[in-house]
Amino acid sequence: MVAGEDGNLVVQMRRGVLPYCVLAMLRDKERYGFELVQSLGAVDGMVTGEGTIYPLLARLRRQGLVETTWQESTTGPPRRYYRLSPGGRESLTEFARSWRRLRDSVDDLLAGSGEETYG
Amino acid sequence: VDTNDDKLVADYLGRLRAAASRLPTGRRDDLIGEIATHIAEARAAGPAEASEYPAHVRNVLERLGDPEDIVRAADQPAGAFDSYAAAATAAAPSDRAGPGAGLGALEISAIVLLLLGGFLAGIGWLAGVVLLWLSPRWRTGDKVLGTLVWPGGLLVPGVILAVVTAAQDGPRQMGPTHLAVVLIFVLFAMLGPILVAIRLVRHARRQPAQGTPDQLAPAGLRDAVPAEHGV
Repeated sequence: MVAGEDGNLVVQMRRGVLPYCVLAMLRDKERYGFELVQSLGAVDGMVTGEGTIYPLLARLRRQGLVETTWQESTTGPPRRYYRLSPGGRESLTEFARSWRRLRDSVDDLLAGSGEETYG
Repeated sequence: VDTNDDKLVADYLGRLRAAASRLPTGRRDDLIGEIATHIAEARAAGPAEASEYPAHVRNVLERLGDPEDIVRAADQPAGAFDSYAAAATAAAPSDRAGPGAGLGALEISAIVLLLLGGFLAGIGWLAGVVLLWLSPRWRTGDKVLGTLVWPGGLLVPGVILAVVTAAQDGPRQMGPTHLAVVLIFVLFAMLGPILVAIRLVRHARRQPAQGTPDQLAPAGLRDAVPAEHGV
């Protein structure tokens, strides 16, 4: 496997799971855009350009997976708060199930091939 | 130092605005507003040490990334996630279009009312037009066509046909040539709304087609990793 391809695969995987990571961050409480982006940016290897989160949030909004409300801020302009919609919650649950299955399968395969090599 | 920061921010937003010119107006303004707010929030939060100030704004902009990348993210065609999410929301009870059928109760009511609503004191056709414009399944072109061909749907040709038929029994009977002309006119007048209705049915069905593979296997594992970029 070429290093470039490998990097591309990681980018693609990250892009695939990022929307659900955003939904997961909204599972228990609503957050405003800047706060969300900061928290996601702090997760290792999750976000390359913080600015690309905003188009993603807009898409989640258009798809009805998140709902938004404007709230006044004491320190600056009004903030747009995001929270999960019922559809978003459903989508997140569904993804979590698929993700666990995939992760367990891959983990098993990776561990299995290791044992074969050394056993 | 502060004016230099302002210039950096203005340059950045200028590049974003230029890159975003290809987006639809609503989305473009929204995106630029969000990024501008982000920068304002980050600047207000500020760095912990005053000595870090000169580098702070540059750091904020660097972390945001290239404006071109941001716009590309806003511009992306529907990928695996979109159809996956669309399948999930289509199944949600809040969705009025129903589970991915494309032709929900709203669309069927709209088409039936456009065709026959004219006979319900004319109001029915108006209701059909309202439903037509409410549905997310049709583009504006289809909506305009559905509204203009013809106002009243089958009402006008229907009434003409009824009047002509009734007149044939009475003293004001028409000659065969005259009658043929009227009947051909009625036929064409009927054909319009019927062809438009067929077009509306087909276009409403076409929309959800992109989500179909995922709907077949919503929990499918391959959805988690974009297949087209596999090793």
